[in-house]
Amino acid sequence: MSETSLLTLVTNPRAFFESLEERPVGLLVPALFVLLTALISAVSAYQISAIVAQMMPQLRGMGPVIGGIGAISALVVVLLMWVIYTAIFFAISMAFNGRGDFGRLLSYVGYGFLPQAIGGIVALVLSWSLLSNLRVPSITDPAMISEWTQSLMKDPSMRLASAISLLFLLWSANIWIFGVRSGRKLSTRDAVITVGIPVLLYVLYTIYTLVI
Amino acid sequence: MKRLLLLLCLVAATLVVGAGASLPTLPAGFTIPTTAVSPTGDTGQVPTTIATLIVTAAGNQLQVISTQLDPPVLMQGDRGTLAIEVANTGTVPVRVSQATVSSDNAVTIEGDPYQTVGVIGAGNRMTFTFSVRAGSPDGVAYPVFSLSVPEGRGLRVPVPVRVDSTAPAVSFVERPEVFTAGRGESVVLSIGNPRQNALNGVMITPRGSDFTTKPSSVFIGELAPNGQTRAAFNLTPMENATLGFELVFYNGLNRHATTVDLQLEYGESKQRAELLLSNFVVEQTGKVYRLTGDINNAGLRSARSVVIAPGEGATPTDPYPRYVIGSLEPDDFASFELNFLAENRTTVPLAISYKDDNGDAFEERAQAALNVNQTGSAGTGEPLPLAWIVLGLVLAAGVGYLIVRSWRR
Repeated sequence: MSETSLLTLVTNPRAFFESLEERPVGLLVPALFVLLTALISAVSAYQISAIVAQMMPQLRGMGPVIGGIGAISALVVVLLMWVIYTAIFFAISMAFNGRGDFGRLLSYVGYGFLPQAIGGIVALVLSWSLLSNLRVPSITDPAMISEWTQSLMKDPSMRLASAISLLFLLWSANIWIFGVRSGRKLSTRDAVITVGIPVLLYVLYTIYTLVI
Repeated sequence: MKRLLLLLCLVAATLVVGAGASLPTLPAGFTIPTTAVSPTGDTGQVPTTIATLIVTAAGNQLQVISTQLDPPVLMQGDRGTLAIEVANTGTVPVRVSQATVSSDNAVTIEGDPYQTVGVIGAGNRMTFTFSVRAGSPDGVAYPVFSLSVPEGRGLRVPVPVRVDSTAPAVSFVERPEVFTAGRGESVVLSIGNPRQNALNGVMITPRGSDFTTKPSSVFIGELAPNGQTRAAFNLTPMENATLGFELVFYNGLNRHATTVDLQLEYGESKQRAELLLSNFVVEQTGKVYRLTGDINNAGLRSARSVVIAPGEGATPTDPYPRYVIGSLEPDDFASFELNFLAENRTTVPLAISYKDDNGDAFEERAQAALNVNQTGSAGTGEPLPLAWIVLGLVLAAGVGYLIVRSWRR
């Protein structure tokens, strides 16, 4: 089994990133992973946006347009998140005297999006089964729409989808730890802290929104 | 010689009257109508023409050409004019000293306008007009028209005058069984003329108190014999209203009026629209309820401008704070949808407003229980299928295994 194969990435990320250290920075494969994640998010966003458009009488008939806008927004946000995650890890690792250029770290963080792409597909199937059977009410008050969306997110199917997304985010974080460790020449402890802080904050926030 | 001439004149007079006509034995110079027609003959027409012949001592001939009564049939108390036309069919003028009509039972003659008449030329005609007044009882009277000529000879003709006090027949063609105070109802009357003469200036007007009507009266004008017409009113009585109809008509120049009472019985119309709500489905999104259902018209009349809205205690919200159905025919139904806020309530009052064909507004109340259908909340609300739970556990185990495995090397 090649040290740079996908199987190695998911089963032994330490070896995977160590093998990449001797190679020049390549962004193509990580960019494909991020793009795959972004496309899956775009499909989910299209679903939700179309439902919101269907909910508002004044936007009825514009579902595809609103859905398209939502999909493009989600696509851009995921691509930005790639850069933002990398920037955050890069900044935090500076506190641990991390070494290594931003491009390599960007490449390693991109590989970490692979679990989110897998988890995104599972969550998409789950949310699709929910949203396709959803009876959308007619609401014009934005506060009511927000309230309705929140109640939607508390549906068991949506909670399971969110939990699966978090699960795969944790898996991504695990890969990022080894990526940051290699990309920024950190100790394992420092890499855990660098990745763990922002991811933990995000996970806690997501759990908070699911529970409250 | 004189006897011979008189005999010839009598023979000639008999020939002129015509074959089959018989003259009763009368004093010299008098005769009776020869073509009298019964006023109640098969045609039903009132006779206005009567012809008779008088032969004077001078051999001249006076003939009653026609009589005409206006109006043709009098009612008790009516005044009319009786016109009698007399012709001199002889060859020499005849001097008439006086023309009179004698009263007979129910018919009296007013005035005596022909104290002196003068000469009726040969071939000329003269009309004598008398004012008559009808008394009681009804029937046919025969006042006698008399012409006095010199030498004690003259003409006497009984003229039939019919007195009939039958009034126009008024009946209700359409009227509600019960009235509702403040609600307009259609009332249609039939006005028939069973008399043998036409009536003029016929007009019917609702009379009474505490009601409104549209139109205020209906003018019919002339009503032919055996004719019939209809008058429609939209009447809106208030509580304790009294209502009737006054029919005014003219028989010639004589004004008559008759009234017809309309008994008002109050209650709910048996034919009104009856709107019933059913098939309620309540969904709740946040604090907003969404109520859908069906509205049925179980009545016998159409309901117009039907609008459903939440009643007191519920706050209407967009997008359907009220729902306009429009017209709902009998046995028809329509679906509706309402959005409202109703905190701490187990039922929501519903107000159904509609109008009838006359534009009168009605409102009915209904209640809908706020038994929220779980499918209406965001999401399906159904528990997770076991397969999804198993899938989640398998994924968690798999990811956990991969994470743990990655740290072992």
